[in-house]
Amino acid sequence: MVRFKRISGSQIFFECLKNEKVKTIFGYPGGAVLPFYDTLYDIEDIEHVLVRHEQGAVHMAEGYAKATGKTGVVLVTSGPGATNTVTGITDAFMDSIPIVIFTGQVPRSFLGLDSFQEADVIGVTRPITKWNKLVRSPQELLEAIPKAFKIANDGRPGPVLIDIPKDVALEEFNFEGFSKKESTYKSEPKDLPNKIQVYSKIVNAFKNSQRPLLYFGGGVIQSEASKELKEFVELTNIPFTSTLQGLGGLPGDHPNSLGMLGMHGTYASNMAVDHCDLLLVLGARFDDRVTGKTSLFSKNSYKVHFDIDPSNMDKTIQCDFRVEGDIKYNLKSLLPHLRREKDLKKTVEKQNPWWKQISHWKKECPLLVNKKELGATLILSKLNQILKKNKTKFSVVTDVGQNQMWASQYLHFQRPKTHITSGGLGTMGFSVPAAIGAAFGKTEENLKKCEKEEELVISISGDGGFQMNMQELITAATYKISVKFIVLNNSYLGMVRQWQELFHKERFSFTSLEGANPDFCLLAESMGIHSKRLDNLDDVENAIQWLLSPGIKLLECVIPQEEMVFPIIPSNSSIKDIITERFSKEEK
Amino acid sequence: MNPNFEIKIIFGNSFDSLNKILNTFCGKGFTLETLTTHVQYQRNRNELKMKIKGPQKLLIILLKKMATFPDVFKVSWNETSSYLFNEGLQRATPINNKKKGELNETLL
Repeated sequence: MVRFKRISGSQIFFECLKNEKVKTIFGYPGGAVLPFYDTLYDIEDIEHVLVRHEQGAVHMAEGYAKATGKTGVVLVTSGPGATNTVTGITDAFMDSIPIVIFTGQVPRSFLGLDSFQEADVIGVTRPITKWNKLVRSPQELLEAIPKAFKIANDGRPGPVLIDIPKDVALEEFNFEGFSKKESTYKSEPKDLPNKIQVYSKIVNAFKNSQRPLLYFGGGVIQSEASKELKEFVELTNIPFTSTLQGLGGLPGDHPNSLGMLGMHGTYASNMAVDHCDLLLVLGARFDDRVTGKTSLFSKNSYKVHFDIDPSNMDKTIQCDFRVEGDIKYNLKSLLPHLRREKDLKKTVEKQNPWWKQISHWKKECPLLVNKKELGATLILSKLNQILKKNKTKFSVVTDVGQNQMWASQYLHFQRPKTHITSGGLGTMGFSVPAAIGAAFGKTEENLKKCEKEEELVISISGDGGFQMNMQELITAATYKISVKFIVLNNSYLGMVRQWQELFHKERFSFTSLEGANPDFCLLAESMGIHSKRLDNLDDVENAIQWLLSPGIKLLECVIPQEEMVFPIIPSNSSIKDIITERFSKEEK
Repeated sequence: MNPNFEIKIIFGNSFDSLNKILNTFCGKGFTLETLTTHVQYQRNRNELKMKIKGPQKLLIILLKKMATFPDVFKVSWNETSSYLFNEGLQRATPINNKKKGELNETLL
């Protein structure tokens, strides 16, 4: 009796992907991956999204992973196909996004001979992946693919790359079936050995505090700890601030929210960080855009740091108490200790003066909306108002620069996995493809849950970043994947211009795109996407309503080049150096 | 001041692992003083010993990061676990701090 079947490397590749419950892959064919595409021709239960550039494929996989919590999968060819993925892989590495990239490679006997479309992609991607591997036989795929998915998701998530020579994909072998069907993505979290002491100490730290503050980051969203965090905030009535990646971890309009912290964070959140006596940090890594000058960052507070990655502990800021592990698991274990605490109410009452101080800071320097002229603050605050009024479920994918900061300031994210952006690497050109990937993910989730209500995916870019990956508009149009594209067009590389104005004596060196931009509306129309230009203050509401109506739409918003993101704490400075408006009172 | 450090790393049996380890120190201002390897130190495990010169704080950060690599099994510095420099770290899997003989010591 024969208990095995003859199967090729490319066939086993897709069997392994099915085993990992992969439904969508983003890719681009080429010589070295021809066997995979040949096998894919007959596969119906995996959707392949044909992109227009390999960088777009990786950003789409990132958007998909961030929007769904699943693993993003990319398939590209060898040489230039593989090297084109490098920026996206680095982006995923910096922002801890679980993606698995499969690259084709020249046949084994051609390796190292400077063959056509050969690149040492393992060498190139070694420092920007959690793990990478060149597969030497089709049998190795059986071990490498599940391992890739596990490593991408386990602990602090990140990208993994598998390089597959063409002849490995073609070679047949005797396949005896999978040893186990269910693959486990994440290691089971374990209890701290001295958990009662640890959690009691944290509760005591809170009880002894008069000015506590919670600061959380993307780790809360990665570990799906929003529910537990909300209960924590409600039990302790602690004010909270979040990093850029943490937005959506708790509702943006929650009464305890102080908004984002850091360089372009709110005045209230940065003042609270500076004045608190207890700083509870959850799933954040004290990025330099958050801390500014590290020696002055929250220097009088007792700092408790929860993080899954031990290498984040004490990296930039020395904390007083550190707990390594899954945030959700640790919060879940901490909550019963808080619930049991009888005099928590007294503690909360004791913190009333702190709340008064916070209210004063909120009033002293709120985020301003310029209603007198058409600008980004007005457009985005109006968009937020309309989305809230219509109770629309939405996700926003931003690019990098001013558009990213305005969106983080003026849009209120209500749920986790609804704010997607390139934080660590700051990759211009991220938004368009990542929004398309997110929309694929949301559509897949909707189909699974049989939900009728479509979740809107809105891409927000500046005119500079939009042009870096605008070729992917045609991908959205081809697959009829509904994304609302907003281009905030100030005909400048706005954030660089802002720094040139503030810190380089207004020497606007090579940042102007005036007269050098394409017609974004015509461009969209050429790809079958409806478009509109908003250049009149009175049309804001109508234009947004038009954008939010069904279909793929592009709204170009013409905004003034002088509009800046405020407040701003200059790089390597502290809250004392905050700039809240263009001119000081004396200059006015 | 750039002090000397002696680092010991136990890693998997592949050039990829070795390259990833060495790459960690590249382009960050470290100088290699000595390097010795013990291949098959244990079954499928190799030992790498290095004396390097460079900034201490960055070295500790990099060693902690290295300890999370899939094919790296142990990282120590001057005969003590790199986690020594995370005194008070609370973690589920205890790491024996040989120098002090303490497990998961707590602060506060």
